Amino acid sequence: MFGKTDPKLISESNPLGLDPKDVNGQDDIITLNQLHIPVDTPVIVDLSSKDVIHSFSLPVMRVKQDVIPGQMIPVWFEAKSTGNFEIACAQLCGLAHYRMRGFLIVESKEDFAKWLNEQAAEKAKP
Amino acid sequence: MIGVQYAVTGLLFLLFGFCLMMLMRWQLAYPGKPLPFLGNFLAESPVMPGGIMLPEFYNQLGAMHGTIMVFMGVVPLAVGGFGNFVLPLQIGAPDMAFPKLNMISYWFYFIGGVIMITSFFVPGGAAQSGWTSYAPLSVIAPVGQTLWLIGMAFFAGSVRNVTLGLFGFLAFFVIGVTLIVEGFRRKL
Repeated sequence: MFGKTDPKLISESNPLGLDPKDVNGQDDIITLNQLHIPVDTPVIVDLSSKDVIHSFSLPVMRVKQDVIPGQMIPVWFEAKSTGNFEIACAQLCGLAHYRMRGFLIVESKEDFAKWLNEQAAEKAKP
Repeated sequence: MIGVQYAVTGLLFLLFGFCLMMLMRWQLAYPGKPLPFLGNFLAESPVMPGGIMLPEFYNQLGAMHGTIMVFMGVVPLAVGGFGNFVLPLQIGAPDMAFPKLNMISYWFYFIGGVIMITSFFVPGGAAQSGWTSYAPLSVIAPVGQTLWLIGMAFFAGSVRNVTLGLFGFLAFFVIGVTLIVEGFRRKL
C-alpha cells in the first residue's frame, strides 16, 4: 500500500511529496531519477508534475505520456529483457529540458527482490 | 494584387525563419562555439554574448522558427497568396469580393508578423515555450511570450481570409456563376 502524496509537500528532501503522517508511506522506497523494475512483470507508473508540462518517455518500451501539473496519470508497460535504458523528458519544459533524463534498470525477478530487500533494510535503519 | 502582396511577404518571413533555423543548426553542430562572422556583430547582444548562444536563445529560436514558418510563411503563401490570386481565375470572377476587407486582412497579417519579430528585441527575448506555447511554461515566460500572443491574435484577424474568405468566396461564387450562366446564354 503506497503512502499519500501531496504536491505541496514536495521539497529537496521529499521529492515525491510523501505525507509524513501517513502510516502506509513509512516503508515506501524512494529513488531519484532511477526506475528499478523486474523483467516480465507489468509495471504501472503514476505520473504527476509540480511546475510545467513534462513527458515521461521510455523509448525502449514505446512509452510516452505527457505529465500535467495537477493531474495523476497512470501508464503501464512490461519489460521483456533486462538491461539499462534511458528515461527521457519528451516535452519542452524550459532551459534544462535537454538534460532531464533518468535511468530505467530492468533486473531479473530475483535480483529485483534482492534490491527491494536492500532498500527496505536501508529504510528501516533509524 | 493582394495575392502578390501575401506571397512576397510570406516569402520574406520564410527567409527569416530559415535564418533562425540556420542559427539552431549552428548550435547543434558546434555547441558552445562562437558564431564565425555574425558572431562579431552579435557579440554585444544579450542573447549571444561573445557570439556563443545562450540556452534561452536556443529555445527562442525553436519556438519562433516554428511559429514564423507555419503562421507567417506557409499559410499566407498557400491561402493568402495562391488563394487570393488563383481563386478568382478559377471561377472566372474579375476580382476577390470585399476588396477593402481583403486589404485590411493583409495588413493585419503584416502587423502580426512585425510584432512577432519585434518580440526578439524586448528584454527577456522572444517566446521560449515552443511553437505550441503550452501552459504553464508559457505562463511563466517573459514578455516576449505576450508579444507572441498579440502577433498571433493579429494573424487570426487576418485569417479572416480563411473564414470570411468563405463569405468572400460565396460572394464571388455568385459573380462567377452569373458569368458562367451568361457565357452559356451567349453560346446558345
